Amino acid sequence: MSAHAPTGARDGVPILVVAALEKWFAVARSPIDVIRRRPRERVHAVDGVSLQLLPNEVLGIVGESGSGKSTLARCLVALYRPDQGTINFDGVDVTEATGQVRRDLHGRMQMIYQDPFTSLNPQMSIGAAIEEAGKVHGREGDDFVGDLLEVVGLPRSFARRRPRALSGGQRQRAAIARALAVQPEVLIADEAVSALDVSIQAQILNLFAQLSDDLGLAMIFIAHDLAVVSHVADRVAIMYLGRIVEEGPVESVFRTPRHPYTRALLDAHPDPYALGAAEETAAISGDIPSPLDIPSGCRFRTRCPYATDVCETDDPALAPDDRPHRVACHVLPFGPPAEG
Amino acid sequence: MRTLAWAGRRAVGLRGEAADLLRQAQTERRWSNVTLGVGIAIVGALAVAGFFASVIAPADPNAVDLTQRLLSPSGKHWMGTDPFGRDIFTRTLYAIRLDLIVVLIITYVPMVFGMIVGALAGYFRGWVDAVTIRVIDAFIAFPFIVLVIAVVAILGPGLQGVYIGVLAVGWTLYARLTRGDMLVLREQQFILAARTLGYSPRRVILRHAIPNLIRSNLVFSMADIVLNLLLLAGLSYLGLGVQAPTAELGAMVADGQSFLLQAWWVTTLPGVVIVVLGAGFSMIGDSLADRLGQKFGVVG
Repeated sequence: MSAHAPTGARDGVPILVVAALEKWFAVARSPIDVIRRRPRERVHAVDGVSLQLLPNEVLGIVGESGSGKSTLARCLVALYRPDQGTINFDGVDVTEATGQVRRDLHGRMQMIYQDPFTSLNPQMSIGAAIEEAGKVHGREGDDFVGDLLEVVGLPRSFARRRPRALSGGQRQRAAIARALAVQPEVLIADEAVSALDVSIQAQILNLFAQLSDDLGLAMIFIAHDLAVVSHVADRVAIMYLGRIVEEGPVESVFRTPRHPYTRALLDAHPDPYALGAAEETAAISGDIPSPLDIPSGCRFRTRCPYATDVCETDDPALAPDDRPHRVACHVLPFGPPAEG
Repeated sequence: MRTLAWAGRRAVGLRGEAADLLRQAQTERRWSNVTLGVGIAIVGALAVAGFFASVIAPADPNAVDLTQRLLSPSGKHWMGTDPFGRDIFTRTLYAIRLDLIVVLIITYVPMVFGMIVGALAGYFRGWVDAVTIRVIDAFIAFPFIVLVIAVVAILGPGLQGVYIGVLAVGWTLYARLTRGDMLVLREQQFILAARTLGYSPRRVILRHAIPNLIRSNLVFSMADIVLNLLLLAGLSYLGLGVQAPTAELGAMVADGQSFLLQAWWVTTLPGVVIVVLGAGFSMIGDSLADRLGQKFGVVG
C-alpha cells in the first residue's frame, strides 16, 4: 500500500467539506390528496448538516435510528442527490459529479456497509470481488488481492472462497479489503460493526483504528453506539432528527457533554467517560419525533426536560465555527463548553 | 444434500416431532430427486430419439404411399401409418426434433430479452420503468394465445410467424418478473457497494445483478417450456404453425382427426407423445423449482 499518497491532503485543510446539506424524501400521496391539491409531505432526513473532515482524522457520527446518519452517508458517496447544500471533496463538487469525475471520486472515497451478509455479491468469490474493484480503478496484475487480504487480517487462501463460506466478521473484513482495493483516501463506515457480535466488533474496530494509523485514511464512522465511536473517533458529531446538535473532540464531548440530548445518550449508556460525572439528569422519554413533522424552534424540545419558551420559537444554531466543541442549545443546563 | 444425509443419520437419535419433521423433509427431498430423474430420463430419451431420427427412423417421413394408408400399428409400422401412408413412428421422431428446437428457441430468446429489459427498468426506474411497465401491462392485458394468433395471422401461417409472435409477446412475463426482483436487488447492499465502487451501470447490471436474477427466470422458464410446447402444437393443429408436409406433433394430431373412429392411432399416438414430453418438462421444472426455490430470489 505504499502507493497510497493522499493527493490534496495537507494538515489543517479539510479534505471533505459539507455545507448546509439537506435531503428530503417525498411521501407518496393518495389520488384523493392529489385531487385536493394537498402538498406533498416531505421527510426531512438530513436537515441542514455542515461538517468538515480533515485528512487522517476519524470523525464519529452518533444518533438514534431515524436521525439521518445513513442518509447523510449515502449523500456523501453520491448514492443520493442532496436537495440543498454542497458536498466538496478536495475541491470536487460531489453532488454535480458525473462520468469520469464521479468514478475518480469513488476511487478516493469508499463506503463500508452495515450488513456484511448482503454487502458482498453471493455469486462472486472474495478474490474476484477485490480484484474487480482494483482493476476498475486501474490496478494491474492480481497480486494486490492477497496483500489486501493480509492487511485486513484474512488468510490469502480466502480469495477463492464465496461469501457464504465466511462468518460475519470475516465478511466485513472482506468488504473492507474490497473498499481498500481502490486505494481510497476517505472511508465512510455506515454502522459497519452494528450487525456483528460484540467480541467481533472489537476486532473490526481495532482493524479500523489500525487502517487509519497505517494508511493515513480519513474516516467517517457512523454508529448508534457511543462506546463504539469513542473507541475509534478523534472527533464526534451527535445527530438528532437530521441535524448536528453537538460536535467536538471525542473526550470533550463524552466527558463534558453540553447538549441535553448528548447527556441523555450518555446516561442511557454505561460509558467509561461518563462515569463519575453522574449528576441528576432526567432521562429523555418517548421516541424521536416523526421527521414528517419536525417540532418548531429547537427540535429536541419535545423530549427535553430543560425546555423553555425560547426553545419553542427559536431554532438554536450550532455556533461558532472556530471553536472545537460546539453545541446547539439555548439553555445549556450544564454550562457552556470549555474554550480551546 | 450432504447436510441432510448427515442430519438424517443424526435423526435416528432424535425423538418425536423433530425426527418426524426431518424424516418428512428427507422424504420430500427424495421424491424431488426421483421426479427430477424421471423427468430428465423422459426428456433425454425423447431428445436423443429425435436428434438421431435420421439414423433410427425406419422410413422417409414424407414418403407418401397411398397403398399403405391407415395401417394399424404392427411390427413393420410401430405406430401405424397415416392417411397418406406415411410411417407415423418415423414422423414422430422427426416431429420431436423439430418441436424441441422450436420450443427452446421460443422460450429462451424471449427470456434473455425480457431479462435485459426488466433489469434495465428495475435498475434505472423513472421514465424508463414507467414506459416499460405500461408496455408490459398492455401486452399482458390480452390473452397470450390470442396475441400470438393475431401476429401469426398478420404474418401468415408458418414457423416464421410463430417465432415472431412468441418473441413479441413472451418477453413480457420475464421482464416483469426480472423488474420486480431488480427493484428488491438494487437496494441490496452489494449493489449499492458496486455503485459506490464506481462501477458503470453496465457492469453493475451484467456482472452483479443478472447473475443474481437468472435463477428465478430459469425456474419460470421450465413452466414456460411446457406452455410453449402446447402453444406450438396448438398453433400447428390449427394450421397456423408448422405447415404440411413437415412432421410436427400438433399437425399430426390434426391429420388424423377425421379418421379418429377408423384409425385411432393417427391422432392418439402423437398426442400421447406431446403429453409425455410435457410431463417430462413439468417434472424437471417442479423439482428444479424446489431446489432453486430455497435460494430463490435475492434476499438473504
